[in-house]
Amino acid sequence: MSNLQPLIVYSSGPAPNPYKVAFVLEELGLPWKFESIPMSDLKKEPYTNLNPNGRVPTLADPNKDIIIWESGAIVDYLIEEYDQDAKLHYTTLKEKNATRSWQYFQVSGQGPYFGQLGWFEQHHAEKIPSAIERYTNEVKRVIDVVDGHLAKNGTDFLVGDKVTYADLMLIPYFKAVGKGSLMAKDVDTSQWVHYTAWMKRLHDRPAVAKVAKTYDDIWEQILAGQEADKNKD
Amino acid sequence: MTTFPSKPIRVLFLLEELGLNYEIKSFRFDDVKKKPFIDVNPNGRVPAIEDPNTGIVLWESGAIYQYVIEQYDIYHRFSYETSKERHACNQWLHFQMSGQGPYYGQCSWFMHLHKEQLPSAIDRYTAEVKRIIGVLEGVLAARESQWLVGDKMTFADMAFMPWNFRLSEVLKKSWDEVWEGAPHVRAWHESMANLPSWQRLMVTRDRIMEEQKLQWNGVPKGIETFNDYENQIAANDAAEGR
Repeated sequence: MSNLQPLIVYSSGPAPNPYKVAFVLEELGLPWKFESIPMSDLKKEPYTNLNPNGRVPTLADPNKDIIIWESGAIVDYLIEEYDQDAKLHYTTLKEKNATRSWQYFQVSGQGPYFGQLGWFEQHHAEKIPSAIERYTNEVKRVIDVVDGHLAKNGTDFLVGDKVTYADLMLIPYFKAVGKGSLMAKDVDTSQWVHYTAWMKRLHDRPAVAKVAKTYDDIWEQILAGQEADKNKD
Repeated sequence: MTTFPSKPIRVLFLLEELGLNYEIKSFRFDDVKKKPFIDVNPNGRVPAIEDPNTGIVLWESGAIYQYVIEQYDIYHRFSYETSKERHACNQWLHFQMSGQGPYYGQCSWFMHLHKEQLPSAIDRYTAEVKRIIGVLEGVLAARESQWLVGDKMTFADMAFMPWNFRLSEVLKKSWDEVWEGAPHVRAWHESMANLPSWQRLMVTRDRIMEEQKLQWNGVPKGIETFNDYENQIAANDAAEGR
């Protein structure tokens, strides 16, 4: 591992998706670094030469001369190429596939809906209550799905009692909601007891804690900036 | 599978092309977030599969795709063995699952199902649909092959079909207007739409929707809006003591 060149994760400041990849890289003990691109440059060359969709993350692995975009595909690549000891995945058929269900749930059922909430709460040109309500309800429903699953199975993690890449992938967007967070500030996530315990269990892991701190610091700055702007008016 | 079945259709397309036997269990949208289906899929969405040959029960069409390919595409007719191509297929599948599907879905929601007409929300998602088509056009135009990965149709190409096939209805535009400025995407899409397997599936889909008495957008015939449909479901549940 020590003779590996650092893997590069293209990110954009506080954008959540690159952090999914960072959690996996850190848990696998791989050398890596963020290369942060301003949001305004993402949909232009040269970045679109790496990722025609103009989003983050993209991974460049100089050790294998490969560039991959889409966080789900990047995570699959890292697991296949670098998780030989099955630290973050199962090799048994049922568990391997169950992990994928949660992975795809994250990329298509959590991420985009939480992202739309962020958009309509923070960035859309007008405040549309029914759109904000739609996505707030979906955020609650998604948390409820995870909470219900953990309660029903009584396991520490989503698939059995071992952490998998699926647990890690769900972290960034979940961190962004609830009291003291950026989105859905009126939603008290502690009401979902199993979900809350699972998030704490994940954050107790040193690798997760280390990456989470970087993420938290960036968001703290943003929230402080927002408070300052409010007080100016 | 249930109403507006774009994701289940995606799975069936792969099963059809692989020549696998399958059985469709179709049920009402009313029941998708209730037992017994939520015991199969805690997220309460379709599709889910049960494979009696392995005992595997799986939800999320992307996970199902990868399972079916790994388990049954042993001759790599729709996939590649080589590392770079495998990861590229995976990348496109993820783009479809997280970057196309949900945005086309929100477009369809705000255009046809949301309880009020919100022009700025509609504009946001129609612009994103156009942008996604533009991304595909840029990539396909630059490739020698007409396919996203390598020189054959893979599961990565197939995954895009169901949502693209609904675009004319979703956007309320003619196909010429939908594909304006995207001739490579059009050609790619039409190659797949002309496959016998796809055409068979469209017949199946229409039959099931007719059996369930559904309009193209998944709302039962005789009900005006999705909001009315949700209210009716809630009323039925209350009456049945659920």
